[in-house]
Amino acid sequence: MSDPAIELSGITKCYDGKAVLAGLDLSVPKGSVVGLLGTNGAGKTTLIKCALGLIRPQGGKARLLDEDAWTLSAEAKTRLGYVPQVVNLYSWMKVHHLIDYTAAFYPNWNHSLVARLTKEWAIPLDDRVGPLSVGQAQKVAILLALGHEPELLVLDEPAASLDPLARRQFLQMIIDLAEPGRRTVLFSTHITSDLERVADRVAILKSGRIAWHGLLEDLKSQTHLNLEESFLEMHHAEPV
Amino acid sequence: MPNAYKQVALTYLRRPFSSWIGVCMFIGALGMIPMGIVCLLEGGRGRPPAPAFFPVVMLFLFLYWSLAMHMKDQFADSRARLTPGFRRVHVVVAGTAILVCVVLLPGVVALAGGLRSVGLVALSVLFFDAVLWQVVSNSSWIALVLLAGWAGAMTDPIRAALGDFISGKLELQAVVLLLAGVVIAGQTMLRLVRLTEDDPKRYRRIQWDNLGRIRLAGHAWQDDTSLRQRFRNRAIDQGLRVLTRHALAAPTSWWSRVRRWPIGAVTPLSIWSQSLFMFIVLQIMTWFIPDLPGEENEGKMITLLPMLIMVFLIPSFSLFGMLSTRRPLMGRELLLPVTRRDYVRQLGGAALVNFLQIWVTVTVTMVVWWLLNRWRAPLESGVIIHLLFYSVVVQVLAFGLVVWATSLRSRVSAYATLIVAIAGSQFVGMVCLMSPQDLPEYALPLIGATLAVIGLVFLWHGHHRWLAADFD
Amino acid sequence: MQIRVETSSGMPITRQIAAQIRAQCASGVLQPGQRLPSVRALAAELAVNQNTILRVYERLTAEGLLERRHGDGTFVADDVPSGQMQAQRQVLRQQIARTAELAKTLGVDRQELIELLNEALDIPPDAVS
Repeated sequence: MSDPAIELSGITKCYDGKAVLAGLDLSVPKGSVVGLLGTNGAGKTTLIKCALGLIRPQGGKARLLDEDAWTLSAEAKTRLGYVPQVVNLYSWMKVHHLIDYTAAFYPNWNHSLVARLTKEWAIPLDDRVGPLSVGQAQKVAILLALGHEPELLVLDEPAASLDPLARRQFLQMIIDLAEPGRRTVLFSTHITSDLERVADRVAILKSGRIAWHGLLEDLKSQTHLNLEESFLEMHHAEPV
Repeated sequence: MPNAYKQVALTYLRRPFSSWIGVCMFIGALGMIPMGIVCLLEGGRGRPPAPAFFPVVMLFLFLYWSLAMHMKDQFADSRARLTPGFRRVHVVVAGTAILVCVVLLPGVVALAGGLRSVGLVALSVLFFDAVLWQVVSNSSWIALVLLAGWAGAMTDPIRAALGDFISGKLELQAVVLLLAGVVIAGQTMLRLVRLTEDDPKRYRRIQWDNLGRIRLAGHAWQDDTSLRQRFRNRAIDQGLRVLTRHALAAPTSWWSRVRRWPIGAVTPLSIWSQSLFMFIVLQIMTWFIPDLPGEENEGKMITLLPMLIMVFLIPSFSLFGMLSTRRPLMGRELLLPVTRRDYVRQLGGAALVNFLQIWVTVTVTMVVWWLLNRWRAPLESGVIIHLLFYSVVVQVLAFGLVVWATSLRSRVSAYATLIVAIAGSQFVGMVCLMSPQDLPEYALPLIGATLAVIGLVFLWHGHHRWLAADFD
Repeated sequence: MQIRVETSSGMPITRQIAAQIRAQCASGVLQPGQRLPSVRALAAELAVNQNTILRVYERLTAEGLLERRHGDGTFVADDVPSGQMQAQRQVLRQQIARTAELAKTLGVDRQELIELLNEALDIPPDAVS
């Protein structure tokens, strides 16, 4: 049993005196695809940022790829990919310049993979990033996170702005990427239908803690409901 | 990793060429270097540099600001913490860029201009420090300091002191200040590199996308719990209460209909703070003046009048900024139960009301200031009356221009038009008001009327543009 | 492979796929010794997580329906265990029950139904579609 890819223990994070995360524990095993589910404002983004060492929790420990998240080594960073919720790319750069710029930092950048994905996803290489639509910008951001074939891929609401074709391509890519036992994917979303397909584990964030974490099929076996219905029931709402 | 250094350096070089404003600035910067050298040479050793040196300074300011913003863009992002080797590469390239622009460039200008001291370099390092601090800390009081400095530098005693500093009479102080400047720059860079999202006030930065729209990146200002923000929040809440009252009341009169559309000085507090700020600036100016003896009256006019003219122009044109940030909301507002014609007219009415408010505030402030300082800065009452007449005329011009400029889709062209208009009207104002006795009797009213007519033409044209504009 | 996955159902995907593979084996769509698509290929085809497919294959292998030959892939077992014969008979029984139900609804009487059945039995097996 190898170490988990992400390990959060007792994470507490407060904003303005309100505790967004309250003693949260989460262990993401290597090689799994974990979907993080939660209402808007539940703290999914905060959780991800604490796990990646972007913000410092008030309490608890965050470990990432067998290292402390706050002091990640450069070597660990080459095995990590992150797509933030709010995509913030250099708006004045051309897309292919941006790709070259990012590629320069990763010794393990896979140029042929990037070229293939660029063609498949119809990413306009010669356009500047600023005028790109939200969906296109998101695709570029995902591409930049995939280019170095990371062992751990963390995505925050990745498919929210993608059209159905792009979303299917994206999910296909995640499925392809997530070879059992080799690569780990953590993504937060509130689109349960995406999770049903792609994830094999589900973590539900509620009231600052993980209310349920385990195999998706276990959840279904226990409740005999689909993911959306389980989620609604957990929040005591009537399914339509 | 050598490719990484090359790529990061390329970002510095490519950015100016990604927009035509950048290209203009680049060309301007290139042109300003020889101009700076010429100014220094003309100034000669021991004498303050020629007044034309100041545009050079402004251009360097813009260069430093662009540099600082570029660095902030790079470090205030999750990429900075998660990309391997990011910090090392970017700090090295940033350091090189700073060395070239802040130390070498002024050094070359100083050497070519015949100066043999580190004074100019020390000044530019301190200048850069101020700009970098402002950009990294997102604090606006540095801008005030710079503004005060610029105002002060227009006065003779400060210019003389600067001249001494640059030409080497205060060599020891220059060296000390240079070293201090370098240390401060290092500290600020360290803070920049260590920036995390846990510091929302500093993490926030302004981004312009290619269409000239401003996007505020980073945390929302709701997270900002500083005293200043809380003060602002209170003022905004107050203004909103007034607005709500207007909105709930039945729109029986044109006045109440107009009052419902908020633009600009929504809160009474902002009017007061604007006038207070203006008053303080003018007052600080006058404190520098008493050093001049009586026969230097002409000198006082040179320093005072541009300020006074600006005082009428800047608040009006700042309304443009507010109107254009409003533009994305206009599409939504048009869906409210109001016809397009009525909407444009009422919005225009609201803008007009705001213009009038600002004009009254500024005029009252200026008159109060003049009354208080009449014995110290004697401007003849004739000049004051001409100034007031000019202010009225310039308001008409400004209003027309603002209405027209906000209807333009490209913010860049709008800003360019406004800058030309500001410069042009300031030039006209100075020519007319500095030496009214040299001009024939009818000249002043004629020029005033021309400016007003230009403003009205723009207003009419702008009104028609608005009626057919695309709101999206 | 003709498998339909219903993601919005309360039944876990693994169980859905396993049931359909069992049904296909029982109905003869999947012949003994036939090679199944690789984990990766089936996951791509169904747009489902690879772990899910892996678990389905592992479960069915444990039941004896499939066998994994290292390096070659996953195949339908040559000797179908007795449990499978029962399952196949059960599928047939269910199919006949459904047909009888349909006949009743259409008002087809017993005699006509037997005639139709005889007709069907005379048709050679590979022409059935």
